[in-house]
Amino acid sequence: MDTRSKNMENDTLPDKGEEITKQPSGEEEKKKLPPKKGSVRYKLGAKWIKVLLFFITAFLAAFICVAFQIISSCDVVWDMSAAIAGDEQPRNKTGSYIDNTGKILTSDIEKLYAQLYIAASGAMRYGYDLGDEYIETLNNEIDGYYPDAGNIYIDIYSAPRGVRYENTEMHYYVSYGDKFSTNITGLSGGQTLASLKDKLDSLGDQYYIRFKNELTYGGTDTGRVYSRIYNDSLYTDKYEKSEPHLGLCKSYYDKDTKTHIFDASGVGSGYIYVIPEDQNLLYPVNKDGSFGEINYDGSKKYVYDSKTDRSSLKDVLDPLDDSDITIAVAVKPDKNDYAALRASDDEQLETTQFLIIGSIIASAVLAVLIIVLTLRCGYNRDTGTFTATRLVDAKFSSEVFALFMFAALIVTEIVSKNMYSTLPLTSDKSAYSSYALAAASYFALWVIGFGSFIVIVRKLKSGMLFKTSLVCMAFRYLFRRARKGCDAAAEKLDNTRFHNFTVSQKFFIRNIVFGVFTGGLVLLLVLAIIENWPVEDMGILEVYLTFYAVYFIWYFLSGLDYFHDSDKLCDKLDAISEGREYDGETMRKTSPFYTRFKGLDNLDEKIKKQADEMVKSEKTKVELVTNVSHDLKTPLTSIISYIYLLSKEDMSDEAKDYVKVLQTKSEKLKTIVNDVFSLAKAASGAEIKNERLDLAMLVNQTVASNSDITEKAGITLKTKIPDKSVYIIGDGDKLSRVFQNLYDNAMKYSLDGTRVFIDMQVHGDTAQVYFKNTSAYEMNFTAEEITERFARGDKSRTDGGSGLGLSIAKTFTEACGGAFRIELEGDMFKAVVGFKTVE
Amino acid sequence: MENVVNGTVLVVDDDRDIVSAIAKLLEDEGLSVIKAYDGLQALDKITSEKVDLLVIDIMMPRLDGLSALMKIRQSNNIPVIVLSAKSEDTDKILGLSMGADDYITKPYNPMELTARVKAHLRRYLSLGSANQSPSHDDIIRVGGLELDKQTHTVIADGRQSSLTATEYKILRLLMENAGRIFSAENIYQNVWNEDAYAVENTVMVHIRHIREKIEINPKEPRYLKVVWGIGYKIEKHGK
Repeated sequence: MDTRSKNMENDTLPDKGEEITKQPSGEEEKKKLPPKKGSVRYKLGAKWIKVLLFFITAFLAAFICVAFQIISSCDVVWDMSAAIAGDEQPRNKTGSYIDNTGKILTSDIEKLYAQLYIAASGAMRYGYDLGDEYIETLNNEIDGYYPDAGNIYIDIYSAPRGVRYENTEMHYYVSYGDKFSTNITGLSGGQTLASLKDKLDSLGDQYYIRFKNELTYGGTDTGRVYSRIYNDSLYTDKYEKSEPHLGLCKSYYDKDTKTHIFDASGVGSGYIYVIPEDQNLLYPVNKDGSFGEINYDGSKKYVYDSKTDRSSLKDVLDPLDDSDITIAVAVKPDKNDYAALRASDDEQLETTQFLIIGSIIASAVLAVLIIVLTLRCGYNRDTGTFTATRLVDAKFSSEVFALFMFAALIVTEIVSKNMYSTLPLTSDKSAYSSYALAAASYFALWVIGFGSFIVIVRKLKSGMLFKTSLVCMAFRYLFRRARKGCDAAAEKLDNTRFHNFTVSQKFFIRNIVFGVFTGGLVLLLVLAIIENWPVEDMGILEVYLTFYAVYFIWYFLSGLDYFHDSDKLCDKLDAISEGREYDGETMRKTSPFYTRFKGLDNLDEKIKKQADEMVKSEKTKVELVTNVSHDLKTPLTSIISYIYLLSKEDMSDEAKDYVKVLQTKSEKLKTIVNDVFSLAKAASGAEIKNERLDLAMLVNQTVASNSDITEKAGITLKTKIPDKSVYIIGDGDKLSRVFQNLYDNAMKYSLDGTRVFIDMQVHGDTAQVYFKNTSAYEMNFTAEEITERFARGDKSRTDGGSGLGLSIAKTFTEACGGAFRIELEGDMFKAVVGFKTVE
Repeated sequence: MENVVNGTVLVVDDDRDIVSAIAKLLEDEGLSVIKAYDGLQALDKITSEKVDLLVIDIMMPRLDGLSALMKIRQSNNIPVIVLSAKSEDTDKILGLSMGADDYITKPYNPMELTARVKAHLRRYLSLGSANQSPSHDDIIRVGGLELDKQTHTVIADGRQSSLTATEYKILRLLMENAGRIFSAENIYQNVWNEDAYAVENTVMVHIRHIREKIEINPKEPRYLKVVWGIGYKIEKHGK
């Protein structure tokens, strides 16, 4: 309650750093004590260290994310480089391109070739569009090499299929696919298309090179990409093994099906021509060199004639003006090259050694820091407990932080995707700003995401997570409402006749109802099985099962309530019987034990009232006795004084005897008054000053202080008292009175010449003192009678004593917490005083 | 060794018979007595006449004994004996702490009363607070007890007591450590310089003898007390 209210107060305070201590619990006490001030542990617990560590994690996370993206980008670059290498653009050890003779290629065109190749290849391989920015860069670069070349047009939308060079109008579109590039010996950049063409031509039937607006080239190959099989007007796409994937528009010969396939999908017409060898099919070639539409009707057969094909191609190839060809661009189709693997080792190491090693170290450090922060967050070095701060413990904040955390995760995903596509492929200086921006975004996202995570962990540790959660509070509220509703309903039920039943009757009814419902369930199940109900008819069973499940939960929980309530009842009974205050839970009004539970309160009250009254009446009694004894003492004082004065007067011997009697009797009266008074006081328990004392010494002192009387009385006293100390708790003055009285008693009533025994025995933790003597008179009374007030062994005797001796002994002993008893056996009188010993 | 003491005693009690009885008792001993019957009268008398000792009751009309005592103590140093029917320890402690020198409960023993009155007077007049001889290291004083280490004499309430050597040693041990409780073994070891074994009786006998010699009423000792179950001690007096 305390911390709650403190919490509330804090909410209104502007002080941010205010800490809320966790509610004290039993477990917490067992926890380690907070570290000593000034110790290393204490110093390490400083808040600024944790904040610093937190920002270090954000820094590391940002670094790792960006590094991974750069590495991924590099990966693309490597693959592209590898592809070039795979095209047998050999390089020397320093990485410069060389030709077959080992001459280093230095011309701009060579470099450009490589670059274009990279762009196209990368785009092709990874299936994403090249970034606009990159293309812009590329354009500018090419412009730099060929200021008069006009625009380099990179067809980004069909990028996978090729790169075109545009000079005012699109003149050339040259490409080659897969193996061709690797198989053409000596083909490199800087060659004219003519030389390229010648080269290709020299290789025989394998190449088609077409040009003008829609050019297609291709060659036969065993691989296939996909085929679209026409069958009447319907067609089906068939994707098949695509190794190697043919890059640009292509046609090839499929040996398995003996079919020529012309794929023109990449160059505008969007058709694939499937020309089975054994079928006749018109092969229209438009006059401008482009293909006409081929309609396959299934009846015409096309017989492939390389010559025809060739010649027709020749026709279109003829007008090729070599002088216009500036660049021959090649695209390597797919990732089936081992070249990438070949090139990876040194390239990777060179470029990314720092990033990879750095990332590994950073990841390790980050992992450690995350663990440390997760474990230690919220630790208060002053109290040694885990706390949450007021700032982050506002009501309903749990969900907000959870939301922050997930939002950060999602945004990171989006950002990383975005970054991936916009990050430059090469790491030139102009890209630094992009990396910085990316790093900043990751940093911010990490701070928000991981920060929220830490806050949630802190809440969890300090037990505030569910207290500050809207959902949990809502649930609690609903639960309370439901409980209230149930109670109200139950109360209504209790006001009916059901209320009058005894607990066992209620139990009986409950169990009967339970039996009926369960029986119904069993019956339905059996019916369903025997009758083999169709699925559609199971509805009733499902409804019943749902109802039964709800009922059973209620039955179970309310049953628990019954037992719990009876436990409470028993606890309360125990508390009352032990005189404790019952501090357990109260009982719900609807409980069948409620009235009894309340009844116990009345009982408890009554008992307490009686006890109070007893104390009160005892007090009144003591007051009465005090007053009476005072009233008695005043006249007695006069009497004693004047008798004394009288005794000094001259008078006859007879008169002197009378005065003597008066003196004795007045002394006795004084004794009685004092005894009555002290007895009344002791009975009320007032003025007992208990302390630790040696019982053996006390008895010894009593015996010793009376030794002269013993000698005079002519009675032999036998004592058997342990030499060692026997410690008890008691009031020394009162106990000396007890033993003095017992001693006096023994002396007074012992038969002459007999022995009086004072024994002390210690057994375990009890010590008992025995006073034994042989009575001179017949003891015609019981042990109970003798300790009654004003009892006297010999009722006729009137000399000495107030008759309160044993009564005082008993009362004083008991007032000090001891036990007193008298045992009579023939003429043997035995008084026993028992005490519990202490260390 | 009975000294003759002279002096004026003011007796205050609302019970005239008791006042008369006390007056008679004290006059028989050769003392002059002034009577008063309530606190205010007592205050009057004490300012108007020369009083050497005051015997005062507590429960009185108009002004009770304790209040009167407090007023008197503001200006007067005479011995005061409270005489009351209130016999509880708390009453005694209260009375003594209010400035009384002695507390006697009613019904008193007439002989004891006269003995105490005389003891206090003797101390006040002859060894009195006013002209008290400067104490030096050889004299130990505890209340009305005085022990001279050089002459090995003990004076109790002005009367010289003749103690045996052992009794003197015991008393000296207890007086030097007034207020401290000694067990019988302690005393034995200190006085006899021997190992103590079952010495309770021996020590107690000596204690009883000392009491008979120094106490006015040995049954109700004021100086040498038994602490039951613990030991023996000399009561440390107010000052």
